[in-house]
Amino acid sequence: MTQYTLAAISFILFTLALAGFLTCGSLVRMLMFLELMLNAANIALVALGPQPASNAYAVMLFTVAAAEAGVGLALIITLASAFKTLEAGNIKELKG
Amino acid sequence: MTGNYYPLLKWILLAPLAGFALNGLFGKKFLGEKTGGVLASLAILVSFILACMALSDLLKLPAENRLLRDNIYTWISAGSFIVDAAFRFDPLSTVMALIVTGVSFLIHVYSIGYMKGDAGYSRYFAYLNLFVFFMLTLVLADNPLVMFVGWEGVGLCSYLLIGFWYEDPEKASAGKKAFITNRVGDAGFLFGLMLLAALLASNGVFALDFATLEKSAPLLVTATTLGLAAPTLICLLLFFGATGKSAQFPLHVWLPDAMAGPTPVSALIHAATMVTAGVYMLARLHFLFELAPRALEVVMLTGCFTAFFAAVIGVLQKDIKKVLAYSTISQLGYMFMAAGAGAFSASIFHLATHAFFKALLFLGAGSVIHGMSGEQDMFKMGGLKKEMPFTFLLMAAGWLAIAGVPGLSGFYSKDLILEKVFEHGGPLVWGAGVLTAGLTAFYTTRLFILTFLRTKRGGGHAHEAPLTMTLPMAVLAVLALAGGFLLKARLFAFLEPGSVAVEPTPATARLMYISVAAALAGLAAAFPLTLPKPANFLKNTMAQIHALVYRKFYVDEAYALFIIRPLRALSGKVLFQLVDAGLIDGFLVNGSARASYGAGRTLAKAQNGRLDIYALVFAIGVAAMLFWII
Repeated sequence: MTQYTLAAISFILFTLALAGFLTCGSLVRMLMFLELMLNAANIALVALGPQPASNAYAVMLFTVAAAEAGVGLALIITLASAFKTLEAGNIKELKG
Repeated sequence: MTGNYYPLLKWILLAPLAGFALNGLFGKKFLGEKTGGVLASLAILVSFILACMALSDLLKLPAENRLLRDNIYTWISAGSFIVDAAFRFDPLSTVMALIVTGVSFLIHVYSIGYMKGDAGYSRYFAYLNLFVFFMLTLVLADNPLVMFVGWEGVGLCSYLLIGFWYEDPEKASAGKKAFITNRVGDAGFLFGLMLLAALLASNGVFALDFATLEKSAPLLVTATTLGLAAPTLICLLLFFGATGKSAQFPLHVWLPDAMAGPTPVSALIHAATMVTAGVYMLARLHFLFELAPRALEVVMLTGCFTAFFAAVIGVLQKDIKKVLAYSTISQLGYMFMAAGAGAFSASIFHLATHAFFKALLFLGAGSVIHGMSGEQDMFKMGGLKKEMPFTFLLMAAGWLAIAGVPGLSGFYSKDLILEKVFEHGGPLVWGAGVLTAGLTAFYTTRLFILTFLRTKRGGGHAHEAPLTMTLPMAVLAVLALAGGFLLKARLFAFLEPGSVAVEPTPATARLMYISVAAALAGLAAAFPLTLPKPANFLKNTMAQIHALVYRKFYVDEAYALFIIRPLRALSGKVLFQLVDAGLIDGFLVNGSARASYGAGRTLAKAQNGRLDIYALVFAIGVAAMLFWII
């Protein structure tokens, strides 16, 4: 596996995740796609970044992703209990 | 790379993964029930056959060089620190891989019958296949990091399957409890690994595969960390990880609750395979533990205490699966006792026989629960002998095997462990082991009597299980009856090719007679003591002890009081009310708004509309500027 295959995997993963993020309406799925995008970025970092520092950064990014998932899920649970829905389209508090 | 390159190895792992992908992605929409279940079972059968092929190739190699390796890719490469996603197939992983794939296959077939008509059918098989994939990753891993991936993966699958019926909040929270308790242990495992890697790196060793570790472990003997010898500390941390996964005291609390999952899952994950991961880890890293005799002592005493403690609790449980759960904890205690006595092969032997008879007992219990339409209370069963004749016979095989009746598999392995423990741990630990053997015979006999014999106490009509369920049980029953006899000599010749079989001496024979006598006494005592009259008499005369044991020595309550309540108070009172509501919302968010509002109010006072004062301020300002410039 060369670094360019890895970069290609990262690109495909990012595109798929972005497409998913934009098309799906459920908040939980959106968070999952967000995490996938972060993972794709992580793969690109490991594939193309300076060695060995990028490996260490990747581990730090895992931590960030975990924290992000924690905060995101907490927000989603609060939203779900406040609005009784998990569809992003049904929550329109910001509409003027 | 040492060892022979063997590219077939990765397919042992990839077959269940493919099964998981197929069932997970297409199961519900395209495959349907029948194909999905068959496909999942076939995936495991493929890896079982591949493992057998690898075994036959392994046996062709000379005994001292039996090792096959496969490397998929370089996983981590940071300077001189390189970790491969590599797998090894040596005698120890062979035994584990065969047990895992073999028992898993039988339980997959059983599940086809058991889970029939469940709404989450394909989800169930997808999880089960994923579990087998991770378990094989764990046992075939060539370095502790890949092993840790498997270790965490089986934990995840265990969580998913315990909370399989997630609509029931009690079952969902049992899954969470298992996961969180396991995480506590995993932290120990991880710290142990980090310490090991860091100390080895300071000695100039950067590779982490097991062969290198074994070679360079003696480098650590002289090192000390936190006032302890480094190997002792590392082994204690690793053992703490093992207590989490293998449900040893004090982290055993999750396993009884894990019975909320479907019964085949309890048989596979919480009896035969996953919970033995801790024992496997100790056997895999035996070279490290042998450098730390004090850590081994801790292992043996923990195992001994857990074995006895769980057996005592098992005596009074009412739920058929809870009895088996405590029995599993107790038998795992035996394995740790053996490992602590330095007899790692004996613990693997008991692991194998336990996998057979405990899986059989769980599947039998599942068949009973299935037949009674979900009833789990043994006091509402009884007299099922007539209605479920096959299950009765097969369960009898499992019962006699675990009770330690001479000639059956439980007898061989338990006896060997007790012999080794007597050699290394002295008569006290041995005595506790013998007492546990008696208790084991007692509670399994009690379970058997209450379920199958005597007269029926509950209502309803039970029905015999279908063939897909009884057939796997029959295979396991054969293994539970004959496995010990067939495997004993072969397993030891395979695991320790250099060792010579020890002929029994009169002294060991005497030990054996005592332990067999204890087992038979426990077995016999169960018959009169389960009659309602003596049982009630004992309960009333020892009411306090009964309450203490029945409530499982209040371990859960102690956790609630000393850990969960303080944590809740910390998160509710301190983190939420003080830090979040007080500091962040109150001071930082609203505070900055109030500050700019207040600053505006204060500055607005300066604009009082009087031109002469403006001019005065202007003049003072110019003067100050001039003063500063000049």
